[in-house]
Amino acid sequence: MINYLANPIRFLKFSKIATPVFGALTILTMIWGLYLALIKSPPAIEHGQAVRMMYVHVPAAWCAMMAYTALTIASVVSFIWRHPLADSAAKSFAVPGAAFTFLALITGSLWGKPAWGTWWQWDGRMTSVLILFFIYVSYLAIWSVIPERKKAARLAAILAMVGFINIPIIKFSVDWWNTLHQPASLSTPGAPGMPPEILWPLMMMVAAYSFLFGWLSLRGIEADIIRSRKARDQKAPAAQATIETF
Amino acid sequence: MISAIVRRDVRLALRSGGAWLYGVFFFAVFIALSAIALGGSLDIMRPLAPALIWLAVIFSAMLSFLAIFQEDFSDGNLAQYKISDASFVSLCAAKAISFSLVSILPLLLAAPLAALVFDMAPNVVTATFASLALSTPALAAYGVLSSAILAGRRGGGFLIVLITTPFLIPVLIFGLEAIAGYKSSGFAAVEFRIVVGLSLIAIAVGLPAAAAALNAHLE
Repeated sequence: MINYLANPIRFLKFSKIATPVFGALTILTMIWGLYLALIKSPPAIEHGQAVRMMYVHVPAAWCAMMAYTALTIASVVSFIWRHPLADSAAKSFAVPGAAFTFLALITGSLWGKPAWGTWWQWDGRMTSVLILFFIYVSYLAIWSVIPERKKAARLAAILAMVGFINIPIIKFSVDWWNTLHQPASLSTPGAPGMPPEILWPLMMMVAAYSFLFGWLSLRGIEADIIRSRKARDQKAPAAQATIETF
Repeated sequence: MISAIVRRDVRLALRSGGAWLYGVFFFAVFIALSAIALGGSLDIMRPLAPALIWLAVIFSAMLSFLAIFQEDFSDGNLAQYKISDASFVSLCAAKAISFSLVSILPLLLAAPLAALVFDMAPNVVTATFASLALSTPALAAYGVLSSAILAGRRGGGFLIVLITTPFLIPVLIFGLEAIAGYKSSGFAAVEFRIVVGLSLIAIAVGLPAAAAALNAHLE
């Protein structure tokens, strides 16, 4: 599958079908998920209506980390096999990834005010997600300041791989530092878990965010392939040779 | 080969007409500006002093990162290293050592002077010095990495700060925690071990990555 899609032309054929499918799935799951989350699900006992913030906050944070992991995998592939499509993929994962990280920070801050009484707390989870945002920004900055595409791809890949150290820190920050942010309630074995009327909307929103991430990345890769092909097809401007006559 | 490069870099710095001192002047200016901004009251500044010294060192180091490979890149030395079958990892290790000697060591020596200005307690001065010294490898390794990534890029001053910040934040956090931990448990404080660990990770990850970045520039 991956080998088959490694060819940009085949990939464009695949994405011609896959992109609209992802787009449609995003819209459907997003509408259904938002309906479940904002209207149908009950308010929580402790948090009241503010719990609805969770349905936009948790998926954004998950997708931010998923996007960075995907970005690192694409960077490894690009670094080892020097595959141009992996460069396009890594670059296209970064933009939605940065947006999700920003969204997670903003929604977390908006949720923190009613739940904890503060917009921001410098605890392990929040600080490490902020660092993740900085890493995304510097990753994108490398792409924008280095004009040679291949060199930019390699240098950005190196930065992305080094920056991956941060992902386990984010994941385990709530276990290592006992702070305001609540620990993982879904993936921890023995955790109390969630009642289905809260779990279902959350899962739906996670699906919606993931489809959105896939949709945006596919469109990004498509655009990048077309852009680089255009740049290649464009003939280099003929050198101006003038003979000065005195 | 490493010692040859280190000797060369140190000699170049000493003969540069005092350019290596700019970092120390920046450090002094940063300390002076923070003291002015905080109103000059020692009671307010004393608890903040370790953090201010750390910030002054980090900013001064970040501003000198760009110069690590700049000259070697533009005058073709880097290409010569590549041709001469020398490993870029040892070049990066040499650069990290010479950067620590030329740019960070003067700051470390200036830190106790800043402690006088802030009227810090002697044990806090010791802890600040120790935490800075133990995190020097991390500063140097990440500096070499970001400098290698941005080699040959003019006007990368802000960018290099942006690129290194994510990697230096954990060092800053635990460096300051180590100073706090020293008060209760001395050098046995667990934070000192974390700082050493961060430095080791920085060396293990930063130097090979920097070597790969240099290779990417020259292919």
